Amino acid sequence: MEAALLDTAGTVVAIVLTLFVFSYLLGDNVLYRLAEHLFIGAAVGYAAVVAFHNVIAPKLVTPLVTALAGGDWDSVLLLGITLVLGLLLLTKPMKRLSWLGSLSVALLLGVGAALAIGGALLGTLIPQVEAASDVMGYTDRYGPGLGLFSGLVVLTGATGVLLHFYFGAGREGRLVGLRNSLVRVWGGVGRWFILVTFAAIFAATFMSRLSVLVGRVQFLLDAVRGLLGG
Amino acid sequence: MIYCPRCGTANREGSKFCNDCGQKLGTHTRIKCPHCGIMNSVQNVFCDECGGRLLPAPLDASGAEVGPPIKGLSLPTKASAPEEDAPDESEAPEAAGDMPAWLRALGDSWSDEPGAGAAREEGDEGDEIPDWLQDLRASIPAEEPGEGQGADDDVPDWLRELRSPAEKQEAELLAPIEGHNEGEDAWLEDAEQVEEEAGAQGPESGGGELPDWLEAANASGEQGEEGEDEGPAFYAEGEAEDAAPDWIDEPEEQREPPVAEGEGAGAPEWLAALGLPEEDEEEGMPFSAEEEADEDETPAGLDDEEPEVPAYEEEAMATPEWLVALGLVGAVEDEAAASGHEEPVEEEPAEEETLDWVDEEEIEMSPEATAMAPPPDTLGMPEAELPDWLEALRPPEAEAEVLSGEELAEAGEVPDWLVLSADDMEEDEGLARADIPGWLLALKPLELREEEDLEEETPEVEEVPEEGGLLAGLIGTLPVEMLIAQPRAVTATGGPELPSADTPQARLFAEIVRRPPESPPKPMVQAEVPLIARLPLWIIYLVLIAVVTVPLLIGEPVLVRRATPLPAEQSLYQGIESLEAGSPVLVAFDYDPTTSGEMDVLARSIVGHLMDRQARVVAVSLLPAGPATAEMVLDELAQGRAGDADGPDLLYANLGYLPGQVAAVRLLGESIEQALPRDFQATPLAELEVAAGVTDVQSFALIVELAATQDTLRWWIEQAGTPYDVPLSAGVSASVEPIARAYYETESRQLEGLIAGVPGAAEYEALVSGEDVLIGPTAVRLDAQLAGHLVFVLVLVVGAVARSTRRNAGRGQ
Repeated sequence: MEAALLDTAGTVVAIVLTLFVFSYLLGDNVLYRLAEHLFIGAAVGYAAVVAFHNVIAPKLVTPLVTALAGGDWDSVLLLGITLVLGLLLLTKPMKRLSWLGSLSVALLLGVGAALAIGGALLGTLIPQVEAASDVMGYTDRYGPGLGLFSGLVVLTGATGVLLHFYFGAGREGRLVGLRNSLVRVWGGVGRWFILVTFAAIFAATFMSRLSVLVGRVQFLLDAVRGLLGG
Repeated sequence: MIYCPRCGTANREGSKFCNDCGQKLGTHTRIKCPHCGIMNSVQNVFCDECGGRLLPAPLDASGAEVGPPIKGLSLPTKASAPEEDAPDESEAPEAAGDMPAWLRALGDSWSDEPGAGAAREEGDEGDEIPDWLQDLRASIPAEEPGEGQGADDDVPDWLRELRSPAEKQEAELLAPIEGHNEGEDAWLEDAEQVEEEAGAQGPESGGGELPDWLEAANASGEQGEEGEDEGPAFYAEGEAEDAAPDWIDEPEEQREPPVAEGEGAGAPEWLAALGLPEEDEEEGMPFSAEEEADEDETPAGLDDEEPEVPAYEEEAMATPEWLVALGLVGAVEDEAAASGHEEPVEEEPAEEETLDWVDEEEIEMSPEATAMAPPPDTLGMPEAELPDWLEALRPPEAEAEVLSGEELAEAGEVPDWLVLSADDMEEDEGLARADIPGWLLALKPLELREEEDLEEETPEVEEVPEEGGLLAGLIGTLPVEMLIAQPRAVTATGGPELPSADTPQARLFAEIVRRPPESPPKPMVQAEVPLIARLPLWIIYLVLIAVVTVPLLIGEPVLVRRATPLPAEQSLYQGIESLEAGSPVLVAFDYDPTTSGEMDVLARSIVGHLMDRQARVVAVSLLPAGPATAEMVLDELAQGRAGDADGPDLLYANLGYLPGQVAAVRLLGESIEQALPRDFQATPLAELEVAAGVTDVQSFALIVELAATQDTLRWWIEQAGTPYDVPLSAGVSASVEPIARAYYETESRQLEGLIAGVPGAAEYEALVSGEDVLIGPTAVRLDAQLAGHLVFVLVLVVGAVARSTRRNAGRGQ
């Protein structure tokens, strides 16, 4: 019974806050601000609780206590270093002591950058270059005609976009005229590829946000139906 | 001053060519010592560090080097040929007498005593150095006075610092004379007094036989004892003993009487000691070569240049002009001749060796100089008793006929530098303007300077005038401090010229840099839009919501769409269908409630299919709010599934939030136990049946990424799917599809399957259900979404037409 009441109360609050957010369509107002602040506060508070229960407690506090109780000093040392590095991050907001947290930040940025660069090179750059250059590979998927066309479009678009961003060039040499013409024409084609890509991304984003709107309206309808017993 | 590197002549600052020989003068600001390499000021003749000569010594007629140019207070500063126009020390009084009025005025005005200026002219010993000059020397640490340097106390230390090695060398030769002058200022004595003394003392008396200033030339023997006698006055202002700075003195050890044993008996004692040539030149051997070599130090530069020259000859060559003029050269020459040297020095008549201009009666004397100079007839010395060269030293008679300087110069009897044009003569002062040293000229107040002086001055260092005290208004009072303590002035070097195209940007950049810091941005004040203006917008919003709501209210698909799943969707479906029952599948719920309206549809489609295939779903999330969203979807999907009777834990496990973003994904590939030791409900991983046997990413049969943003999708592809070669499929938001599809199109199939947005979910549901048409709630949402698209297209068309119509109407008007 209590759970049903809580669910009902939660549903009502959700409906009200959703309407508060929709009130922004009429202009900036207090109701929208209230809903916005509530959302941000609830999100941060929820993230803090999740961080403690999902990270700090199971990964630091519990192992540290266990290691201290069991005399596992290696684990204590490792967890202690982790704890110190984490505490040093708390000094960043303080002007005089913010330098203490630089070591932790440096560790985070260093590890993150190393992983990101390595992953991007092996996981994105090289495979994408291979895919763009494999014109005949598309024939297996889409048939001889469509596959070849797709492969050529991909190759032309990729090289055209690269040529479009070709800013620096020497002004001397035998093939200067040919190169300039190639850059101008092919780069222009690449420019159109960029435009089409951005348009597709924008359309997809619009469709995505419209889906969110539909989902919110669906929630409102379902909630109202539920409150009305329908 | 800039010294000519060729002849050594001192030229004014800024001179480009030597005034004497025409040698082009460099614009160097420093001179490097050829001996030690230390950089010296251009005003140096000798190195400050090692004492080595910086400039080549001027040569006399015989080609031998003569002494360095006289600097500092010694006027003139020009070095000339010794036989022709050698300057004499007797020029010093004249130079002092040429002290400009402004300088005398300074001394008078800055003196504590009102009559200090007059007292100086009277030769008052207590006021030999004006107070304002004493103040100046206070800034320079004084040296320890040596013994026998009685005059050192009366000379400012700063003046002693200024003397150059050349002057020191000259001072060594002047020292015996100076020592004889102590306490005496005979030139300023009353003529009667001089006459009485001359009458009282016999001709045999050295002190009375000659004027004291001549007696001062008695270099040795009597230096200390005869200091009380009436000494010569080298300075017209009566500063006989003290006006001569102590740098003119020689060190104590060099004051040894350079009297040779073979001194002529018939010669006067003082004359014998002086070593001046007597009428019988053979008797006059005042200096021996050995003694002279011991007493006087030959400049290092001379030693280096001509090491083979004998000591006595080297001394003769190093003898300055004034000494030659006094006749000492003759003595040296005689000595050289007596020693049988093979290169006899060319002898000159006594008149030629002395300063001829002194002998001439036509020299124009200023009234002041004439008044200060003793009358010739008051010396009380018979004409016959004086040698010719000494006679030549006699001051000119008052009634002498006056010749202009130009005439004297034309006659070759007066050095050029001494000749002043009529323009340079100031009638009110009655004295020819002397070449004032640069350091002294720098002390001249700005208001008293002439434009010419200001133009000619090109100081290397900006000299700041004194702001207070007695020296207020003076500039350059601490020149040494200025040069040492002040940083070197940085000369602006012309940088590379900017291209004309970059100049506006550079100007803009400079303007931005010069701008003061901007104040915090003011909050934007939204203009009050009238309600009627907002009405169309509100209408559009209402229409959109209404159109979207209607299909949802209907609850059934309005349009019948045939299912045409894309290859990517079919690949995902086939991949899940190929899973064996109980296969562990990792599902990453990387979205939160902000995008759950779209992503929940995808999640339900894919995860529902996984549960239908009885896969063990292990859920994680890279977002803090992701686990809660995942829990809602998983719990909803678990309801009514096959394993529901045994409990939902058999179908899925929500491991919760995975912190660390890209690093967390990588860590998940190494060890799930380290990355996620407990699930979202704090249950240890080892106790979860769904996660049994799962140790790392490679333990999963499939990874499904539910991505609302492209970042999380790339992290899973780059850190888990590609490096560990684990099958990876994705259900992404429609906004991520353009990016995600590129990974699907790769040859290696980085994404095995892909569905995007609600349309993709609807197609996938049709695949799962096996229907040819889209049915169910997802198809209803597609109708609502389609209606929303139509509204937007309609708004765009109406807006474009309205704008075009308005534009055409505007053109028509």
